Amino acid sequence: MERKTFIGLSALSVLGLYLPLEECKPSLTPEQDTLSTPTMLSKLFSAARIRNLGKQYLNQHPAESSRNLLEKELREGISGNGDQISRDLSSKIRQDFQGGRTVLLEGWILSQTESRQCAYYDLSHPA
Amino acid sequence: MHIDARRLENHSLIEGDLCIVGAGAAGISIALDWINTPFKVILLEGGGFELDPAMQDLYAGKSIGQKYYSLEAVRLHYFGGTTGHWAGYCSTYDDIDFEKRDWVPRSGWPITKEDLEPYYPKAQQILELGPYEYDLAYWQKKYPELVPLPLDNQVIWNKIWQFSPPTRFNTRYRSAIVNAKNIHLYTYADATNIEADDTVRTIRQITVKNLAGKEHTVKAKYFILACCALQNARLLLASNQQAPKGLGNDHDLVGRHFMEHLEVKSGLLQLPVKSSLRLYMLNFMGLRMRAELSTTAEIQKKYQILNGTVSLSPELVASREKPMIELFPKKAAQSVEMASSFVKELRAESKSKANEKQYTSFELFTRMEQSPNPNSRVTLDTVKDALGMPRIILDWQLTEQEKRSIRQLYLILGQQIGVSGSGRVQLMEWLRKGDDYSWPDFLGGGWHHMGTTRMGENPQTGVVDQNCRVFGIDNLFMGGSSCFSTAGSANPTLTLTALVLRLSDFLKHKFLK
Repeated sequence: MERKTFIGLSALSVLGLYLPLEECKPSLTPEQDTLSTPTMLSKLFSAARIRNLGKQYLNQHPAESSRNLLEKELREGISGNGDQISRDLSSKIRQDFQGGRTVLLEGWILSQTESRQCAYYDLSHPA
Repeated sequence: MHIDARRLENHSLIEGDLCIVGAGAAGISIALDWINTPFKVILLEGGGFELDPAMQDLYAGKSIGQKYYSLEAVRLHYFGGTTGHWAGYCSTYDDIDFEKRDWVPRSGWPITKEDLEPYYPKAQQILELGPYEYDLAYWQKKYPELVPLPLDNQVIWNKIWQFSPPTRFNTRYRSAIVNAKNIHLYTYADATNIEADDTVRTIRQITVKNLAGKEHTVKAKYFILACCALQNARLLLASNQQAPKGLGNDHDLVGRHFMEHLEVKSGLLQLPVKSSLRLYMLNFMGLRMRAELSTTAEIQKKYQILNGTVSLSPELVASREKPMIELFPKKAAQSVEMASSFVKELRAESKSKANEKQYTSFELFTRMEQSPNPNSRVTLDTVKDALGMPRIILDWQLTEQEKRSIRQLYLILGQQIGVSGSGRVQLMEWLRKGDDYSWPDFLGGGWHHMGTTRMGENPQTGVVDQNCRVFGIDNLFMGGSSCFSTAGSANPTLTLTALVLRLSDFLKHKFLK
């Protein structure tokens, strides 16, 4: 149920629609919303869990506790916009795994990029 | 032919060409191989055809190392041996298991897998397995629905397992042995001492006793000890009349290098969409095979890790199952009962096609080899059993290498699952810290006892030579997994059966010379 909610929220936000619950949160551009949506993890986990993974990442990497910095890191190597961002992120995640750039969060073996996406999600959607 | 040694006149002399001590998987496999030969084979079994608590008590001992199962219950002291409660999981050892690996101290057998290849198919038949095929391509051709996870096969490969019914040697081979004219099976003939000549180069005789108070002498040209890795070591160590440190123990190797397979729940595989992952599911009916995931030899070398496999089970089912180390009973009768219900459950599950149901969460379970460690050992206690044999003390010791290998195996698997985009892997709490070498309470073994009379190139590195002959003693051989130099990642029964068939062949050639 939680996972569906997360996917639902993400889909709505891609369309530029926000539920009242989201109104008090910083509004995200569609690109930023894509950056804050780890595609695979959003299929596996609830929004709350993604937020927790993000918090754990930030605990491990306090120097990255800034939306701007995370956005910069996530955008690195990504030139396109719209759907291309999503495809580029997937490719970046795959390259992370190939290159051994993984992070252990709650025991999950995650790519550094998707971990940053979790952190970006957490900072962009404070509880 | 069957003789109950309790009914023989006390101090009888039993004579034959070949004497096999122990009628379990190893001993019976050898005896079967000698049926209809012109040689008289003496097959000694300490127990009878039924489980007997008094016989099991002879196996009781102390465990002072890593938490272990009840020694009284983990092995069965009757005709058929521990096949009375085995689960029947079989796979061949890998090439790398026999090789010298510079990152695994004391690794390397004096033989290669190629030396065992001619004997595996016959072992396969004895254990009532399917075709001698352990290549995924063979099974996929036959059953295209067996689809592997899309992993890089240079990193992770699919190791095929097959399932024995499981063959209970007690019922399956009893009549073949009893009806064989040249096989003389003596039940209630528990070997308690091996006597060598004064030079300790030749075994003269073995003393057998039983709880009826009878004692007999067994003479033969050749002797094979095939009474399990713990008992083989115990018998050599206790036979110290001519050799004070025990037979074959001039270099203090007998009983050392006790190895098990580490079996432990380790992680979770989460998929975005439901799948049956049928190739990886237990299937005791129909296919009677499955695959487990393992790192390739190149990857083991690259990361300096031990050989191990990962099996998958639906988390919904596996999470309800208690670890074996918690479930395993103290008494043998209960362990046999437990094994029987376990197999019944697996068959029922297979029939109900539960293994074809689809899930998103799969528990990941490790089976990891233990590196040969001289401090992991069996010694003799001062306490004696009812037949006057010193009881054993088992000190099962693990090293950091096993823990590091398991963790690394999952990190590699997690990366590969990530690369493939098929899901994500989670490590269990006990594996998360790279510098934590402690073990969880639920870590168990597979009841696989190996290495206590290990095979070596010379007496400084092994108790037995490449033909399983005890170094320095012309007519004493060890049969079974006590001879294993390393543990491999697969369960030992198929390989130990192949190894004793090779020994059997070797001795036949000696007789025919």
